[in-house]
Amino acid sequence: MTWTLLLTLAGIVLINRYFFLEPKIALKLPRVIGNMLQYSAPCLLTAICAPIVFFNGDQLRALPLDAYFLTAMICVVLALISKKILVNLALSLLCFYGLFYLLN
Amino acid sequence: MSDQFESYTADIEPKSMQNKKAFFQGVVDILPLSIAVLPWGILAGSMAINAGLSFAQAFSMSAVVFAGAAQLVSLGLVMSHASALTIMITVFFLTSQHLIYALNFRQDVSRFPFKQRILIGFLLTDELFAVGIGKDKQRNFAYLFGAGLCFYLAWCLFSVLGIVLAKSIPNLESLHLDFSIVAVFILIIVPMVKSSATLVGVIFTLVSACIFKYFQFEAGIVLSGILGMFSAMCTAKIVGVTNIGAPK
Repeated sequence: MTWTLLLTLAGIVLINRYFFLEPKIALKLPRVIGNMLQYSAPCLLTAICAPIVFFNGDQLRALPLDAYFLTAMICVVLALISKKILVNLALSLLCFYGLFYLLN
Repeated sequence: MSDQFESYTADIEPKSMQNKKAFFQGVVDILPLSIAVLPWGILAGSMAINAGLSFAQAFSMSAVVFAGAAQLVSLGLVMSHASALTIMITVFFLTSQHLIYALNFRQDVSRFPFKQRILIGFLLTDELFAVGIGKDKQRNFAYLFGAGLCFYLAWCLFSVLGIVLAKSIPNLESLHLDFSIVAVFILIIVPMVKSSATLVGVIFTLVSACIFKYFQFEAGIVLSGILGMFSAMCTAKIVGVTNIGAPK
């Protein structure tokens, strides 16, 4: 990794982040896009999580008896029951390492 | 004249208080994610050292690029001797979901002065999006800056920890540290699923993200996200026809 590449990567990421925050980028969004954006948060966050939950590197995990998959399910249930994120996080990490120990 | 002055000070006083409050509200809101990113920071820091970067480079990776997944993947590519162009294109697609985050924040953030805008742009991570998107009324500069800065400092701190630990803990990956941020994201996503349209969107995203991952598509995140958003919108259209008075 050279400094040039490192700084170029930083530039690429910053451009992606800043591009649509710039008011000079003239933009009149069609209503379809506006309607779709309402759903961007749950969808994009899901898109980030799914590969980690279901894949180990490039390999599909051994479902359903896998600590990542099972704990993800437990997380969903915990989130439905309570909104306390830190408590739920602690519980789910406990489940995760417990399951990991049990399954291996 | 004095009336004007009074109303002026009355406006200023509560505003700075409000800003302070919003700043710390941002910090509090992003705290769970800042804690959960600890293992990722350690991974990013240690992997940079393992990939042969100097201390200064490894730290700059976290402090300047400031994008966990992009850092890990580009380091992996460096280790497998990929060309600079490959790495740049991969990072572009890998972080292209940020374009959509910015679209969401555009209405509020594009009104800020340039310095504030570029600062929020720099701090606009998956995590800041996750926190900021739920706060329509509070998406002011102080709130976003508080949350973004808190997360940034946590990320840098944990990366340094990873850099230092890289030599002493040889096999960090075997500790499966990557689950924590997934857990927090799931805890954030589930309360967002309030309608059948959102549920359909999430399911479509989940399935397509896995398919893209299987075929090692670098733009998988943004493409599956867009597919999910589209299917959610279509579902809302269909359900909206049968449900009169459905939410706008």
